[in-house]
Amino acid sequence: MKAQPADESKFQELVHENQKRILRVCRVYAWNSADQDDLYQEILFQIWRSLPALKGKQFANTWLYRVAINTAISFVRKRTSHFGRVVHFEHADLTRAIESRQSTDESLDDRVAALYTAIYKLDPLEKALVTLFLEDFTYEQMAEATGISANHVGVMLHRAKKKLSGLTREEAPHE
Amino acid sequence: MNDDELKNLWQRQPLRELALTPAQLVPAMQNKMARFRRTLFWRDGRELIACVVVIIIFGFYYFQPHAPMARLGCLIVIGGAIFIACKLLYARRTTPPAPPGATVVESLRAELHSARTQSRLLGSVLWWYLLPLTMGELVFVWGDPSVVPTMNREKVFADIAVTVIVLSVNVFVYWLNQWARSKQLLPIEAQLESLLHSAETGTPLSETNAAQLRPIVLSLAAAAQVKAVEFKVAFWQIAVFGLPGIVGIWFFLMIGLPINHDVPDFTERSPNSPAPIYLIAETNRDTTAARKIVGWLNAGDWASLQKLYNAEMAAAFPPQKATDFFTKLTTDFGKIEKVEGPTGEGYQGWTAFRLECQRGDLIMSLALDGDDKIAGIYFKPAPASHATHAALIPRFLSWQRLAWLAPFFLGGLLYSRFMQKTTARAVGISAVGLHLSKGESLILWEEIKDVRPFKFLHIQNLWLIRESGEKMIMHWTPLERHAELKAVVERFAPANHPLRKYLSLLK
Repeated sequence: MKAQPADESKFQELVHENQKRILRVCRVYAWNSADQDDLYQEILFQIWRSLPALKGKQFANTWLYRVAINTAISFVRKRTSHFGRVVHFEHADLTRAIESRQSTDESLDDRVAALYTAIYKLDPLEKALVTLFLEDFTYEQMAEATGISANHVGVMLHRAKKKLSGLTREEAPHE
Repeated sequence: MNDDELKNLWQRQPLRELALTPAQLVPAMQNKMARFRRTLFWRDGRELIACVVVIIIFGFYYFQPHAPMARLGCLIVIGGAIFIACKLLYARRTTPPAPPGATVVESLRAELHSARTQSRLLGSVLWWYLLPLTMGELVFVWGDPSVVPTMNREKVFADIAVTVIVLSVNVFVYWLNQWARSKQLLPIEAQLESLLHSAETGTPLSETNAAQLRPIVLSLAAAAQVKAVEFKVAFWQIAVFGLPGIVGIWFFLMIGLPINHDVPDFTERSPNSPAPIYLIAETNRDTTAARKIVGWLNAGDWASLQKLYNAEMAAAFPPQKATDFFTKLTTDFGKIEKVEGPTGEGYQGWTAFRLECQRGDLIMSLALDGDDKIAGIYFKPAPASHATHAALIPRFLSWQRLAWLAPFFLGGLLYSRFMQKTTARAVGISAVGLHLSKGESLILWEEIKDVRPFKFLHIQNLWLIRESGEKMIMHWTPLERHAELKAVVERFAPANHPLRKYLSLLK
């Protein structure tokens, strides 16, 4: 399959409209800016490759998340299978290590950072459902995007949110 | 935070600017698509090229004068190579990835199918990959009898050596495949099965699998601050060391060749008289015969020389064959300038003479029968230490030896390229620790309990050893800009860190 010139403008439009959503997915699945860039490009490439298969604009939202999440899960699995788990220690250890030598970057939004750190600790399916939930998807849309039945989406999301709530409390910046 | 607050925080989060502008997107995607197509092409091409190379090599041997059994070996290897290429291509074609727009569940199913197929292939590698090729190679090696009857014992030893090497390589390849299967594919299979089961039934993932799939536990604050200092290795820097190393192997091999293998078939002896006729050297008779032989060799009078052959020798080496043999001998070594000897026992206890020729020295071993006829004659290059430097240089620089320089030179380039690939972005150093594997794997300074050197050819690497005993290798001396590397380690590594002990390895 090859994107035609007509598809090129559709592609640019689609990316322009959804850039922030894609970036947020990248941040969920890739930890540093270099990996996020790689994943972002990979997602765009998969969108480009499969653009001719997109049936209509009304399906674009769900379709785009399918592409993004599939690519992200595959990206993380390939990275971890090639390099092992990237970091073998918990957040607190690293923070301590950094704080002892470097000053912290105050421009970062601590609450968002804490949320991401908590999301990192979820498994890939939970990450996908939580991301879709935060992007304001309904259960039916989530089911359509992931292929998981709507009932199971409800059960799994409930469990993931409960886990996330506990984790965000752990990760929340201390006042 | 309630759901709405969470969503609000999520959707309003600040996001960084991207490197690619919208105008650059389409060309970037087109480039990536071209690369993707090339990758797909070469993915299949690799197997086909390997298969074609095997067919060419063993096809060539098949049409050479070999015994039927050895030819059968060639056919087995060729058949095996075709079978392997077809099996790999078939496996790849029947496990396509899910289309990008597939659901997560469909995508997981496709990945699981692919992982299972790969795992099965690696698990059964002995039967479909190693066995056909090994069987063919061994039939080829053992199926060819020695062309020289007296060399049977040597051939058996050579065949045993080849068999041991082939089997050792196969055992290693088998072990490597099983290792890759157990360390990479089986865990992936288990993870994918677990994920799929979770998606299909709504049940939570087992904690083991969940932990394996949770690779990175870093806060964004930490991630943003880890700025590794990277050391890339330029190709020429590796080649400066790699090329002389590999070409040096050629040099030493070539030095060894004139002594032992220069003229392996300069032997003429009667097949029916393997043992010397005289157990006690009768030097006068031998010396007289040797001087006659030298005279005829220098005069190019092969006919007179052949008249001195006994009946068995004459039958085994008809005039044309003997002429070809002596022509090659005198062409390679030139005229004989001096004869020394007898110098003791030569080949198989025959009487030996040292012949100083224009282009090197020869040891001529001679066996005479009761009628003073030649029952066996054997030439071999004399040890190089006795040869003059002037004679050695043209022999060393013969085209046969220089021709081998090209593959060794290419081998040196390939080796350098391999080293460059494996050491690309080999190590990053930051305040936090060492970033290995292209910066993907981070080891905290505190985690490294011991450092030990590990030498590979001329390159010094270091083992980084954790408290648990887990070892990771770090490329060390092939990295460029040693001075900067030293400076960064000195700046970031804690005082008394074991890594500091190895700074002296950097030039």
